[in-house]
Amino acid sequence: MQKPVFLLFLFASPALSPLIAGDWTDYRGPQRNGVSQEKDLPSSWSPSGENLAWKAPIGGRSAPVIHGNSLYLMNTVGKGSTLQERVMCLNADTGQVRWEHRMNVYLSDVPPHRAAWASPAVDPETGNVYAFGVGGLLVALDRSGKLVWQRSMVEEQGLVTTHGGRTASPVVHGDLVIVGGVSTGWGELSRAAHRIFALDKRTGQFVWISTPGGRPFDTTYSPPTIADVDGVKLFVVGGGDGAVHALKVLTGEPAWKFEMTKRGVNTGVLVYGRNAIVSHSEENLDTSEMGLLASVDATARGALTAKDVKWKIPGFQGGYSNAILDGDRIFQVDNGANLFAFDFHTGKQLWKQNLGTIQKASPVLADGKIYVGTENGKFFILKPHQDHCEILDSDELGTVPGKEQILASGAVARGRVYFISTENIYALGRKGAGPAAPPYKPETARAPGSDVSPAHLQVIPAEVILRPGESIRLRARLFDAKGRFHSEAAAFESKLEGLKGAVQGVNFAASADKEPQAGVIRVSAAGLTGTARVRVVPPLPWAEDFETLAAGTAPRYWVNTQGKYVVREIERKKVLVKLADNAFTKRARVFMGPGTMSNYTVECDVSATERRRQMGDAGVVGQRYQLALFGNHQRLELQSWQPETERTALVDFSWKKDTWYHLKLQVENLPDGKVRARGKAWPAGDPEPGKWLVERVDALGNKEGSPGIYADAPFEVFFDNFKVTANAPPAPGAKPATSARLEHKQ
Amino acid sequence: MKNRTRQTRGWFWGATAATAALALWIGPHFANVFASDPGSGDWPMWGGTADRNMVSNAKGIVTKWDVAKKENVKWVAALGSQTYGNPVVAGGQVYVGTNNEGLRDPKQGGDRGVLMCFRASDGEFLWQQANEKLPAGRVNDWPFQGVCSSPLVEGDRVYYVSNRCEVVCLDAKGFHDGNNDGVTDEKFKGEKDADVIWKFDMMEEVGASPHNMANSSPVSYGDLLFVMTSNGQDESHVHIPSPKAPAIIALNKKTGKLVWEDNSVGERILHGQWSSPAVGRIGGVVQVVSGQGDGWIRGYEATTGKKLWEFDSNPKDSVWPKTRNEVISTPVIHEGLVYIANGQDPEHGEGVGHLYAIDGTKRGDITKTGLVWHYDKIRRSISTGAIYNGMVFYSDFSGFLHCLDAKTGKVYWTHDMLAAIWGSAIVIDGKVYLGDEDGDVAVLEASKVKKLIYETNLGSSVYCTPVASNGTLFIANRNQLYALEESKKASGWRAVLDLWARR
Repeated sequence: MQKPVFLLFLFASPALSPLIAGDWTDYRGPQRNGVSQEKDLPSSWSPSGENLAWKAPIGGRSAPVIHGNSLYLMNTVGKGSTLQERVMCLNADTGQVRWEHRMNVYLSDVPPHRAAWASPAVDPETGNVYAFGVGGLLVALDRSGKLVWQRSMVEEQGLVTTHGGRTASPVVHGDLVIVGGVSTGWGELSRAAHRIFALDKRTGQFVWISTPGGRPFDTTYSPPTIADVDGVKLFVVGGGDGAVHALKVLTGEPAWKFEMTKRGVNTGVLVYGRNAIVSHSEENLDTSEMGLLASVDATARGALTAKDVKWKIPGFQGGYSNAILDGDRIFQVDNGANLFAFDFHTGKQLWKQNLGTIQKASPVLADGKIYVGTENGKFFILKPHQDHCEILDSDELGTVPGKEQILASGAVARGRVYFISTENIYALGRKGAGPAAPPYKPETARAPGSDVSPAHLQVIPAEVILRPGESIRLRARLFDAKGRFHSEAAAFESKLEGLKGAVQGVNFAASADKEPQAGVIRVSAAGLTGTARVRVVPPLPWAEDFETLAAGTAPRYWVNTQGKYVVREIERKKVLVKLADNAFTKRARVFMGPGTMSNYTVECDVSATERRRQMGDAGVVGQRYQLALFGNHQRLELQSWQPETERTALVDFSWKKDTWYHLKLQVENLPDGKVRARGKAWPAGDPEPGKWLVERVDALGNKEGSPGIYADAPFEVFFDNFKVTANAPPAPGAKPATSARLEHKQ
Repeated sequence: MKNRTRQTRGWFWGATAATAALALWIGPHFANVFASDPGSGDWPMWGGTADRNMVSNAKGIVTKWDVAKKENVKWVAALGSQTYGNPVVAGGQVYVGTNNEGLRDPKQGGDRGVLMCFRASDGEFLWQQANEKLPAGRVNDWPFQGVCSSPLVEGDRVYYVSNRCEVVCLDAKGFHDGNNDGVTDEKFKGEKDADVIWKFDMMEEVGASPHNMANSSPVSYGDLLFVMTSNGQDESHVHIPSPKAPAIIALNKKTGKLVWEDNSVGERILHGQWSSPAVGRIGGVVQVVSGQGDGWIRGYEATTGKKLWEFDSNPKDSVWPKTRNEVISTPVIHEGLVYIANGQDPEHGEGVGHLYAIDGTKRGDITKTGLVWHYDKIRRSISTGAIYNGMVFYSDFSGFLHCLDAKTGKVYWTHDMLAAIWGSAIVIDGKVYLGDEDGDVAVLEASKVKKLIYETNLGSSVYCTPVASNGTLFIANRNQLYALEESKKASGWRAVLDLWARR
């Protein structure tokens, strides 16, 4: 096949020379195929000391990454109300902790034991570390642990976080950091879909947002790969819609998709030469047998069909652990912890080796050996032969069988193999400073010749929140058909759709009117068009009684609202209705502003119906706290992370169906660094009671966040007279009340 | 225990083949006076009879077969891609719950929960009911899990719980009898569609909000039909969205009308409620016994729904979800005692479990007074017990089969299947049949001394319990239903030689 050509091309770059040690900067390793070129790695070790460079009592469920002499990982710290997600930096040579960055999970269904699911990714150029929390918070930290920027993907994009906790690890490519997940945003991105978001790695600005697939079945955590296929750099990932999607990495344009299952895809894709190895363990489209391993044509375009499938093995239960590449062979562990070797070109099974009973982690290959741990807590060093697999070493971790599980893959760098269990992190191999990776060299992309015409126009930022009167300068960049950067667009025209303001060339100034807006700036250049999505969010106070909105619509700038909430006229008065029973509307939390607002009070009238012995729940959200009336339970609850129940303050509260109540939630950043959230409820129209009914002073408080509303009911829930006001006077010494302060000054 | 690997399996099989062959040849047949087989040769409900004891009197059932080589395979029927609805056999028909991936009717496509009916003699597909999924999605009705309830067949009536949380009464003859019996507004009325007599929507009528799946297998006494509602948590997993919905209801089986309900569990549901009720006479009172979502077992007077007793299956110091369990197993009533183990949703993995024999003649909170014995060497279990010849056979989710003394709870032996067990051990003609998630099915002697007779693989996970009826063994793997019967050719010496050849 094309392999020799490909290998020559790949290894021509000195950074990837097989003889030089390298970094392992993201989950899938330097070539994103689970393989390292490191040599002289151990063939045996023991938890008690043999070939153990170091061990630290730091556990986790996601793979570590290594850059220079720093090892980065994500795990949790604390317990109950102090439980947080944490990014850690360790000295990769000694295991000494250098720093840690803690972050809250907020307004998510993810249970505490599934926090810190994804692996960090390091940018080899800047040394910045990117981590994606299970609650949808994406953070960029510099190598000293200082926060460079962060984005709350739930509040800004309506990212869906679920009980499953599945969160995909970010990847860095060129100037981009790329994450993905199921989202339901605003405007054209309201439809629930698995989306890929590329952000400027230095600023956090959205560069492109791509919606390559259809209806999502699941939230998934397929680790992305980036590969050069016939001169096109593709970003390839399994989607929540049961398809594998390949996008041009610099633009997000879909190149091809392979629809293969009726559930989400959690495994990563292995691209080699012109082919991609895909797998899953769920329902197939063409047979009642579950599971698949297949090789498909990665050079194709559009929706792949049977003719693009080079070989396939239906029934292969490859649902979690990723395939790795070894010359002309691939290795993959199935869900039942059987390691298989297949011929890359034909799919012929070469051998099978059982490792245990349950498998989630992926193997890594280096120095001719496979390193892999199982969920049952056994770590293996294996030597793959052509017709069988030799077990060089196997070690049971921990003193209590099964207590120390291995859920995460390993990483190889600095002459060592690193892996993490639920209890410890281990560095196997030589002690002391390892060989340094060569200095970073940017990938020298071949610029398209002048005869190549542009085929895609990218407008940056792809999406932004502005204040009334605020200006922004756009960038318009041209790319060729192969997704390569062509040129900065020189001349272009812009027009506004659904926005009020002035646009001239690259400059847009939002109207100074204190009214919210949501729309797009449509830019044309070189016969191509691109768009920037813009929301203009006014400063506080806000008041929305829905009277000026047309029945059947919903406020356009609200996230996660379209199709779920609708304005309706009831008794000559307009109210907002959470629509009744369907797959996406039983439970819906709406966000209205940037995630950087603080020190404000949210109020709203709410009412719920009762049917089937069930009365709905209705609430308001402020600064990542939620105050909700629970119908069936006749309670008022103040929550910040519902499944972590120690964070919830509650009080019995008797309220009637089909009756309006007024909710009031106030959140304050206190001078001592804590956050106070308190709430009350009373029958609408009655005088406000003096006493707060629920209160929580949060030592690890959420210091900022968007206002919002919340409803959970199989039936309709009603909202009216929503308002948000800055707290006055501001708590002495605290940050002054902000009015839609924006995180990125343009 | 966790470091078991399947590498040992070949060795294990080799070492036991000789004794297994011998056992097969001698074929010890103990008179079985305790079997719960109804005597008709049918297996018309989950557990065969209302007491749910997984014991069958059937004779002449195969103890050896090979689906790959088609040995002793009478017929094979295609099911969906996932099959959790345990087969039942009655009136010459086999019923099994599955999903819609083995699409039988292109007009009824997409993900659905399907109850299929086959002719028992030749596997001919007779009719199906293909229920659409609930609109709220996985919180109420998990994708592709099909129909998980095992029907109750009484004469011409088939009762089961659909994935839509409805108690459904169907005509066993379907539309093959030329009549549209009962309600007549079925959307599909083809010859291969189900003829509905009545439906009781537990979400609409009693407010049930099933967690992930409504799966209860009905049981009856007189005119009353008993089912669990599967009412449970919402997707936050800390919140019961419908705390006023009952855990268990009794319907008039002729009219489909509600007779009584009980919600002692209230807001204390730990997760879901996926047990099924059992009916039996305990201390002179006909009782319905039910495992509920708070980990308690409750006994009711069948006719009135009056709660007679309740028993906590969890130690007081246990903590959900690590050590405190829910009850998914079905209680077995045998000689006045209730046998039941606790466990958790398979999604939660393995963990500690508890198995009890309970004296249901006591009243009130009988956690102390009703305890006959407690066996804590079992792991989390979702299986149902078989009580036979003074022994209890009970499997767990970690893959172990336990053989205990039924009177004392003293363990005789355990057997490691080396893979998770979703189904139950069943005793058929003095032998224990048991399938696992790897697709292995083992046949062991139902005796105080462990003897593995045979083990084979069905190609994909066996989530169901094998059942026997009129000379045939029915086993489903994920996507196929097998009818297994001794073929003339492969009997006697041939079987023994085959077995020897396997070494």
